[in-house]
Amino acid sequence: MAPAWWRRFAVRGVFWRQYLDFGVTNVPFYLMPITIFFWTIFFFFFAAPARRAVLSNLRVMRPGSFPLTNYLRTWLTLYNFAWTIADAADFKIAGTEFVYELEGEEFLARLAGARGAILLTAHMGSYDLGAAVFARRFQREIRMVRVPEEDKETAQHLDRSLARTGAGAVKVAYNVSSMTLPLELLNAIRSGEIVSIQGDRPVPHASQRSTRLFGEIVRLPDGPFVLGFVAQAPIFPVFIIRSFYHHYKIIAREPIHCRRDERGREVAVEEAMAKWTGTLEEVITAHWAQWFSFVPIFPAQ
Amino acid sequence: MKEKRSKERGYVFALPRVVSSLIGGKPRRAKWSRLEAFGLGTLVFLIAWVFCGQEFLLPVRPWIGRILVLFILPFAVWAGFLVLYYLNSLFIALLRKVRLYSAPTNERLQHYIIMILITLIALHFLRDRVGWISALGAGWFMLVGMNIFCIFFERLLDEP
Repeated sequence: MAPAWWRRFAVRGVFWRQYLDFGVTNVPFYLMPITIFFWTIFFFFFAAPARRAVLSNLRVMRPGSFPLTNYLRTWLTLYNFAWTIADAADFKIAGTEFVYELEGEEFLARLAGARGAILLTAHMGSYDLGAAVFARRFQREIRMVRVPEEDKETAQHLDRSLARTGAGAVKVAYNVSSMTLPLELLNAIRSGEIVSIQGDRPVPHASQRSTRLFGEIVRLPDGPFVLGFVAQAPIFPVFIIRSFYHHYKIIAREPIHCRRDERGREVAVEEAMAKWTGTLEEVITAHWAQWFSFVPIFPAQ
Repeated sequence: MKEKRSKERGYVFALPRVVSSLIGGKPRRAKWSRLEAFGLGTLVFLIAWVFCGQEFLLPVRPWIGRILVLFILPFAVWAGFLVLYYLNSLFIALLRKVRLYSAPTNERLQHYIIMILITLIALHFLRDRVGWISALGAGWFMLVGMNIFCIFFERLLDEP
């Protein structure tokens, strides 16, 4: 095992998070594109597991593509990721103003007015920034479910960042226990809160089931749908996409309902999951360069 | 975060703000323009790259060596900028200690230092015998001059 000081410099180590904060406070805005461009080249070579994961996902999403084209697409995905984390840090530290537009504003308004709901999203665009924007725009608190960072120092750094970005309106619940978290979330929904969950990749130790995505059988978390069924709360698919420089788009889709009826829970959950994967597929197809799924989702080709 | 309700534009520099208001826009001071960010950034990087190219490419004679230098140079210039940001941050930290600088971020002072450096390089370019290099230097001075003029022009417009 690598010594502690060396782990700081690993791709997911705290050093890069701290360096990002340094960059945001020190690099003039017009040199940020150049800086991000070169750092993306660096990480393209050094973050090999992430690169391979994006590449393997792209092979399924864009079948028949020339391998070199998919390498360029992978670079573009990492480039977009670099921009979104830089923007989130910029928002948090320097208070930089970003522009956002809404797509499906009526669904967002319904979500904001809902007494207890699930905001289902994906590893796309700036998830943290999106939650903070929603909380501020609609004056609603959000309980965000996250998978804890492997590195302890990175996790602490991220906690502080989220607290600053969300200005107290975004609470974080870590997905560490398959027993207590669902109950905690159920109570939160029943007391009228909005719970935000990422539903585009399975989480270790969390409940999951098979469904179809891009024609392939994949394992996705079924927790949000079981929660929606038990609490009888609507599930709102929401995504935040980076449109271009300092401009974002919040996309909300029609809510998915997991209604109780004579067919039972399993059918309701499976139907809801199929609707979710349909929405996910549609949004990912349009914004494939912003699907930051750095673990392979699809079975090995 | 600001919700986009109209075609409101935002620029950091006075020059694009004045141009935009002359053609009927209502620009404000904000980092929203990709043209400003990517355009100026590319120009600054280009000037630094050409300068380093002049210094490091000329002594290299074999063509294969020149190609190698040309390939490595952008990365070296980027690394040079990273070192510069770090050294500047140390200098800024010192200024903060003696209470000569108190802005929340170091970006403004970093910007002034980089602008001074690039302007000095552009001054060096003005005396260059190669036409396009001196034109690059002249172009930089024109941009800086126009921006300074627009700063005063904006102040005049703002006066009651």
